[in-house]
Amino acid sequence: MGTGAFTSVSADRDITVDTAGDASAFLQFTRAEEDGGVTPNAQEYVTLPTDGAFAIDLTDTNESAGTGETGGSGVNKDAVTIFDNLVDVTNNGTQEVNIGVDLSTEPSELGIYAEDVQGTDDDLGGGFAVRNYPEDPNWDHTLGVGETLENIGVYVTDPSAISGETTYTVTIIAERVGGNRD
Amino acid sequence: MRRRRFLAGVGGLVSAGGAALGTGAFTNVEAERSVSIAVAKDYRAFLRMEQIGKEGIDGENTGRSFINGSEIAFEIPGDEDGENSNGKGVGLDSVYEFHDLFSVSNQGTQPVKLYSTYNGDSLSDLALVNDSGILKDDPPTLTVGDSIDVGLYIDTHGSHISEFDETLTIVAEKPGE
Repeated sequence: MGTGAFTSVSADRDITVDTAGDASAFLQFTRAEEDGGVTPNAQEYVTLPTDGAFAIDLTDTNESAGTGETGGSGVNKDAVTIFDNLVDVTNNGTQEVNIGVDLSTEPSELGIYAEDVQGTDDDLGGGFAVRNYPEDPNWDHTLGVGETLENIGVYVTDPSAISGETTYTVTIIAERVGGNRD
Repeated sequence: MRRRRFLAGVGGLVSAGGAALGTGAFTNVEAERSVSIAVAKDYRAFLRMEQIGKEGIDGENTGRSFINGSEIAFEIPGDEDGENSNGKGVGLDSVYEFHDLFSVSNQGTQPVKLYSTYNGDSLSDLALVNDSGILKDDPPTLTVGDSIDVGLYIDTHGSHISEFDETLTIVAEKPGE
């Protein structure tokens, strides 16, 4: 075996990395499906280019509007609006993972939920959010290899806090069950 | 393999020059000396790097780390049975960590700190990672004979869909250097 003094080693090694669109990535996001087809909400509100990341656009309903009709153009004031069945997420990795939205990245005027668990007004983010990540995360959802978490939706609880058209970015975390454990 | 001796024979040129001048002064000396260097495969080198197998689905290899000739190499996704064939790559605007892809051990004679550098621009970042985070600002120290399991940290923010052939520089050096 090799032994001997060395002060420094610098070794270049090759890494081939494939990037993929959300629809075929290790953590896969697809438009929500129900009864074998994409849900109407997902068709209207979710964009998912084959070579990119999904986005949710709740600014208008022009795609659903009939010819000559004008679609909706935003959420109502002084109302709670729920958008069900937007996105499904699938674990295409090799280990069981916990999954959720990092609550610290979720704006207080809206919440993201999964599988019909929408939380309550005094418990914003209930359902799909992860509190206290990464120190002491409380995960609500676990996905085995190949499993899908269905019906991720958005509810807007405080439209008065939204001025005009606003874009938010939230962070979704999937981490192997058990967290860090070497 | 056996460590070769450092051979320090006296070269003829030095003797000849000394005889001609007859003093200790010299302007130029060319002295040939032998240095024996053995080049080893990564898994037998002073800085030993060895892939970790059987970490994938059903305890099969993912093929994410493998030996390419004499060097360890990486491929994400892997192409062996333990990989999930539905995962075609890492998503965009994401940070992926693949832990425990290979082990690094210090087969030298003094402690070294272990870290990585990446100079490419196809990815936002590429680094070694273990459960304490990326091996960059506060890298771990490996004492002699010590070994740690490390993996890859891949940041795709601002990247696009493609297959990227990247180079990661793995550095082990004496603490304080």
